[in-house]
Amino acid sequence: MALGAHALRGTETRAESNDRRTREFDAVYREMLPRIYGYILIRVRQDVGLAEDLTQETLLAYARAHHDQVRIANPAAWLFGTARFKVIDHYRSRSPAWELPITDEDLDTIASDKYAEVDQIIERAHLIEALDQLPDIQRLAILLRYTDGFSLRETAALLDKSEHAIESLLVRGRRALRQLLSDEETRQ
Amino acid sequence: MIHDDALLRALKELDQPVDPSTAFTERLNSLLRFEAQIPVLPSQTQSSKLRPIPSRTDRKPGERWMQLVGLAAAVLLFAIVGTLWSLSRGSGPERGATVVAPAMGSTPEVMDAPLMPHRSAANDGQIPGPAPFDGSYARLWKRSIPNVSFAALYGDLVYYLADSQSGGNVVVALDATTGEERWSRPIARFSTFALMRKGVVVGTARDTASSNEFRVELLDHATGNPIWVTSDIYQVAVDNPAPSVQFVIVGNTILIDNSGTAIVALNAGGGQERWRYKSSGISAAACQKCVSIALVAYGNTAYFTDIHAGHLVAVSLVNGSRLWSVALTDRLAARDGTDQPFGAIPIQMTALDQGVILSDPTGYFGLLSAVDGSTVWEWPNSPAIISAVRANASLFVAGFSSADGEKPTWQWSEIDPATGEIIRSGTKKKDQSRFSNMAYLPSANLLIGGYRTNQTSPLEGIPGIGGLFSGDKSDESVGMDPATLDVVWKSSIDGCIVNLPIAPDGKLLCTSTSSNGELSVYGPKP
Repeated sequence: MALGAHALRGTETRAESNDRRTREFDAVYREMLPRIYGYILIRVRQDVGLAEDLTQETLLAYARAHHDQVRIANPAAWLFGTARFKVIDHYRSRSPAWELPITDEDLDTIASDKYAEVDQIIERAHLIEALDQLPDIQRLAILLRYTDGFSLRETAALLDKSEHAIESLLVRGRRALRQLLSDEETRQ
Repeated sequence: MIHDDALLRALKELDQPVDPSTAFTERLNSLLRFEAQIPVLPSQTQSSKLRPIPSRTDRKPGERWMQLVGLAAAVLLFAIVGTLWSLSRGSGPERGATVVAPAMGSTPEVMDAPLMPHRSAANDGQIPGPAPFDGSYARLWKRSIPNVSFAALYGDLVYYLADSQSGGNVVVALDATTGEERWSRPIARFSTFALMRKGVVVGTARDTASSNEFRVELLDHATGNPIWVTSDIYQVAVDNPAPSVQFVIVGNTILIDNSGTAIVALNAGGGQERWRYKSSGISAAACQKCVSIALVAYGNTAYFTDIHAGHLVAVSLVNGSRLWSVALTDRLAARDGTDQPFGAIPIQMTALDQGVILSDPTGYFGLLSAVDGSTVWEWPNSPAIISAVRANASLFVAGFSSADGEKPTWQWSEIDPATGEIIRSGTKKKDQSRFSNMAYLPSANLLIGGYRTNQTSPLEGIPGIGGLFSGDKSDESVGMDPATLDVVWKSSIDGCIVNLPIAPDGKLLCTSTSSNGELSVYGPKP
């Protein structure tokens, strides 16, 4: 908005406009680089090379949009959305475990999951370690639904699966995570 | 046992910023410094097919309506600002280039991939464009054009290069459907042209007939008017009668050789100079016999022969910094056996994943590593390679070998570029007309047979410039499956040597062998 106001009033030269745009970009870049990198790293099983590739693609896409003067109202939302899409696109085309069988047993379990009010603290490092052991699509479904906060329908749309399939993935994923974390607790 | 609520709470708080490595941050900084107009580093990811969806955690209730209202206001505001801005553009040109005029007229359909006389930035024989139409063709038009050399059908225009009456060259654009001239523009006598989505890249000079100096211009596809012209003046290395300026286009970067003394990278968006790598060698005057330097690019690396220092140099496309430099004089001069300067050896290079393949007509053929320029493999007593094309994981080469006093022997080979080992080869004379100047269409997985005429086009006599002609000596254009070498497509047009690429709508540009200087365009028969 500031760009338009300055230009209309004729108070900002082109050089000043370029400087301002550069400063705006630098500020977003400095703040968002570690956030986007951290976001991607967890979703690609701590694969540093892949995380760097996807982070680079995400930030270059933002830089190009910025250069082309595409108006981005919320850079953080834009960058996370792009990063999310890069991760999903990567696994969609490459993961051998993208198609997972669904059993009725999975859906039966949905009703029987218990939500006990117990004050338990899960170590972040242990949770990441457990997530890394899940199949790609299951891990992504869990993260989209419970970390990114998408609804079941939105998660299904993002992964191009039915809600039925996502429900099954979530149930199995939660069960697997609980088991893995409990095993870790026992070892300690 | 861990409970669900604890698990869900931990998942919700999972994301945290992580500082990437310093090396990665520096690399990313370099890329972003150039406004992200250069190609992205090779990545393990595929192209995107999904639309990004904003994070739910970043959305607020009622924001959707606010966004729609804001979007409408922004569109209106940007239209006003854009108009005001375009009116004020003449007040301050960018450093290093002058924006001459905004593009006017209807924009013709153009292709995404750039096209250069030597086919691709890597000089690997790969050509953009779709598979040829497999059916009958009908001729749309035919024109007799004296002294035509490089010609190409690109989108819905045919471009060709010819001698101008003033002694320079002229680039002409014709309507691909009707053959009518759209525009023409005189260019420097040593310049050819290259095509990219943004426009036509040429070298121009005030005195097109005799000057060795030139500026780089980007011409609008629709009108031929300059979109930008460089403020800096560049020079050709030698007094070469044939076109000798190469434009190597990689993404949004145009590479040029400045008199053999520097490689210059220009921003295709506005003509500004991005970086310049200066040769460490002697002045151009000491290299009267030098031919154009070899200049290729692949991934994030440009390779070129520093003809004055006698080195092959690899530089970063990001910032022009030198990655490595190796002396070539020893390995080439030993096979040369003549007193000609290093710069006069017409070296050819093909860049690929593993590094750069180097060949020269005196019989050197080998691969230098992309990492440090060390020799990965080299052929002892190699034939003089005249053609190299990469198809999938193989490299198809063709050339002549000759022992003293004996008639040269022609041979083609399919080799593994990683090891230099021959997978298969042939010496049949009939294959010569197909394997001597092949091209590869990745989109159709087709090897298009071709040969070198050597005389008909001045461009084909220039090392490193293969010309775009394809077709064998019986005027037959064929496409082969690279795995079996079976002919899977054959042009049904008599007397037509296809000039690649093929237009998206199936049109073919033909050069007749019976009458040099005749261009015609064919389209699928309705």
